[in-house]
Amino acid sequence: MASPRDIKKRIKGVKNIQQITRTMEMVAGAKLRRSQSAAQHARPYAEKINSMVHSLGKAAGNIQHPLLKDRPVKKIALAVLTSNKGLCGAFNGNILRKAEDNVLRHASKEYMLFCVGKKARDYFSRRGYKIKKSYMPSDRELELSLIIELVKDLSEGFEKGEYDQVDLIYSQFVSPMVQRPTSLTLIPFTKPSEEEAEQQQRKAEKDKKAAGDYLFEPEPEELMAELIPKYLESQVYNALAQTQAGEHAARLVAMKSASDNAKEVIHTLTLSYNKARQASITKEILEIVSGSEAIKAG
Amino acid sequence: MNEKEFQLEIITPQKVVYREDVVSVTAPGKEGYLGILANHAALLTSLKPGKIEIRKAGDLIPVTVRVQSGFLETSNNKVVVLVDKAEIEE
Repeated sequence: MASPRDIKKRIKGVKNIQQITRTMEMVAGAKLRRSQSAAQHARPYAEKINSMVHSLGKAAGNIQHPLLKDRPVKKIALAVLTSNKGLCGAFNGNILRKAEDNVLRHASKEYMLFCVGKKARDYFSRRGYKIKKSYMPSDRELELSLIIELVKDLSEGFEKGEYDQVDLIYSQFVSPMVQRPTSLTLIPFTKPSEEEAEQQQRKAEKDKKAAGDYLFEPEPEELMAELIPKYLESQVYNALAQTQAGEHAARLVAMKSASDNAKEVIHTLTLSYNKARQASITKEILEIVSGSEAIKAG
Repeated sequence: MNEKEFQLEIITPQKVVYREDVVSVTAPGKEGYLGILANHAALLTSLKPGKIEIRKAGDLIPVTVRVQSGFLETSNNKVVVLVDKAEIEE
């Protein structure tokens, strides 16, 4: 059995760890609140731009745009969104696994990687994947400039024909306890899912008067060319906001369980410390008693 | 005063900057400034950086909002302005 002194040292060490995890838990909690509200505030913009693209697409009929073209998919660009920092449980691992699954599943197809966040870059470069470009978002705020750059790079490569599809892999923020790694096809535009189409229809019915005769200024095609990058930006912005909120939520949970574990460890260590202390006292008393017995006998 | 009002929303990716009932809006359209009153025809247009002037019922001095480029959609007596950045001038 370890000496009481060693155990005491370990207790002290675990207490220090607990202090750190507890602090990180609190910091993550505060950041979660902020990023969650940022994600929420981003929603009206995303919804409105979504409905604008829809009403433009519906009212103006067939619009030609390079980013709308469906091509046979041979090469895929993957944009993977992760956090910069670790210590948030399986959060980044889940996203990266999802990304790797996608790469492996399409083993016959070539891929190109765009990494957002330090974790994605480190992971893929360590495993020898070729990374086209990586981006480092700041942890403090959502930078519009970075998103604009990413969208520009992605759409330029698509227009040049470097790849035929762009997938975005990010973590969907379902609730503070649940983050779901999600893959989303960014370019070319996929038709809205049925649920979404239904929603749009219901909305359109609600303002029937508006449907149909829109005035466009400038021409619809020109307008679409301007609207699409903004639409993509808002999608990426939304994804990044959710990923960041998810990161903080995951860290909060991870740090909470770390603090709880530390508490448990301290409890068991304290028990064995008391036992060891008791044992040594008993041993000492025994020695004294047996010593005095020996003197008496002698 | 009995002026017709309509709802105006100015939204950036970060937040909803402005959401109120107004009487008239003047916005920097790509092909020139455009004024919007209630019951305007459905319209979708892009905006260039500039100032949006908003007049509310009973107010004589308009509210000015400085905006970056973006889009303006109006339908059903509702005007939605989507811009990268918007700042209400005091």
